[in-house]
Amino acid sequence: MRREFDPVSLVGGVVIALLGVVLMLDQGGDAELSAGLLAAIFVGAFGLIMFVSGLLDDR
Amino acid sequence: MSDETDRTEELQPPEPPAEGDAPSEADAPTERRARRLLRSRDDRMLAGVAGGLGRYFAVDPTIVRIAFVVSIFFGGLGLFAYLALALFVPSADVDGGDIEAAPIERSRGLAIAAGFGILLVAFSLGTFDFGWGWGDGPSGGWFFGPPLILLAIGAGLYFLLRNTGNSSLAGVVGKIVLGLLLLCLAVCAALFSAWAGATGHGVAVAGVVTAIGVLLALAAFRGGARWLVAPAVVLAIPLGTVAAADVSFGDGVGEREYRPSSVDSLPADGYELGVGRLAIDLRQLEWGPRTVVDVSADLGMGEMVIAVPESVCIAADADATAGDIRIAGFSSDGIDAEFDNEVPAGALPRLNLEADVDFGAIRVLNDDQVDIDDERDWHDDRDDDEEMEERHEEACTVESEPQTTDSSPDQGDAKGGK
Repeated sequence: MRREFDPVSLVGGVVIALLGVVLMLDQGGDAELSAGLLAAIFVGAFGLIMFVSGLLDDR
Repeated sequence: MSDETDRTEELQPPEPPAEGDAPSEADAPTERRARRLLRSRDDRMLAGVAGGLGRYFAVDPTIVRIAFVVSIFFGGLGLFAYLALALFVPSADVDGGDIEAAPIERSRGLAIAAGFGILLVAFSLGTFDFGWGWGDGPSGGWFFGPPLILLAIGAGLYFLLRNTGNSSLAGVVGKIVLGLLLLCLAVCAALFSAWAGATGHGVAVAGVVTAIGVLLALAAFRGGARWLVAPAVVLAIPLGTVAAADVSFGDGVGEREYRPSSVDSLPADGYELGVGRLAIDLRQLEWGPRTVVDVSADLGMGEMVIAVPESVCIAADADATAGDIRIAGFSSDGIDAEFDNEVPAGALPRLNLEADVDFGAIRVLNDDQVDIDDERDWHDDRDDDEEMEERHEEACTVESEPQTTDSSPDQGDAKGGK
């Protein structure tokens, strides 16, 4: 059954959009991100998506 | 989409002649039809090919099926033969009643898929170098060829099963084919994202990732579209990896070997390579007892090997974002690996080295005999590490006070590679 509002998609979308912005800043030369920092950002981003999915999903 | 053309009645057996009529050619056909190759609708596991062949040649269809399966392991031609027979041979019951037209005659979609599949297989075999003696194109056939061939066979099998009444099996095959197709697309997208990042087009890919995120957030108010996370992951991770490794194809890809014979031949900006193997042999330089040489080397991803004479003391500042550093027997590895040793100011001759690698390894060998082109000569040998360590300690031992004049017969403080 489809809900009208999917909070997981909202959180995931915001996280992925912010991740894209970070990558744009790095690729554009406005920010220099180390491998460790990027890895932490990636893991944190997708970990947050999975956490919210597990928390809010009623399936 | 498929254009089902019912041609069954065109192949109906002719009406028997009325009593008293002269026998026509149609009377004789019973024996000819018995010799006509038809797929079996009664005795079939997939498309009735083995059943039809068994009936035609009067052999047990099980033997025919075994022969088809065994042929897969001997070049796979039996598989292609099976598909061809299933596509082009009509089918009938054991009593030779209604003859159903061949699938490729009844379905335009199947004909198109079969034709495309054949072209795709031929293109792959003729274009890519599989290492089997087929194809004379770029190597990589082992990567692109098998998935293309599998997809072509799978798509053909799907349409064939759907048109021969095996809908449930066709569904399974269809899902497998779709899964393979999606996997291929994901791999291609990931490679494209990494290539874009390494060639300076990463901003565009990052923009696409941002757009997917915005789309996903907006879709939340319309029920959600969680599947968008998958393409975002496929694009973002390779781009992020390339960004972290600071890989740039603009600095070159491949193997580079340098054997400078004089300090003047050392590049002012240092040695650089994007991806690959960077080998620098400094043993050809004119090393005097008071020579100091400055060298810098930067590698994005790969292996860096630097050889120096045994009598040279090495003052190194080496960094590896993720990798392994081994300098004159000393080692450091892991994430953000560093090596920075201090040597006595009077240790001469001396190499001041700045080396950076993002993903990979740095090897500095103080060995007069080692062949840097032969990895087996020095790679990961603990005994060699101990010997190089001892030699390095000896080379860095200060025996006398260094002279400060510039008018030495040797090169003195030789600036190079920076």
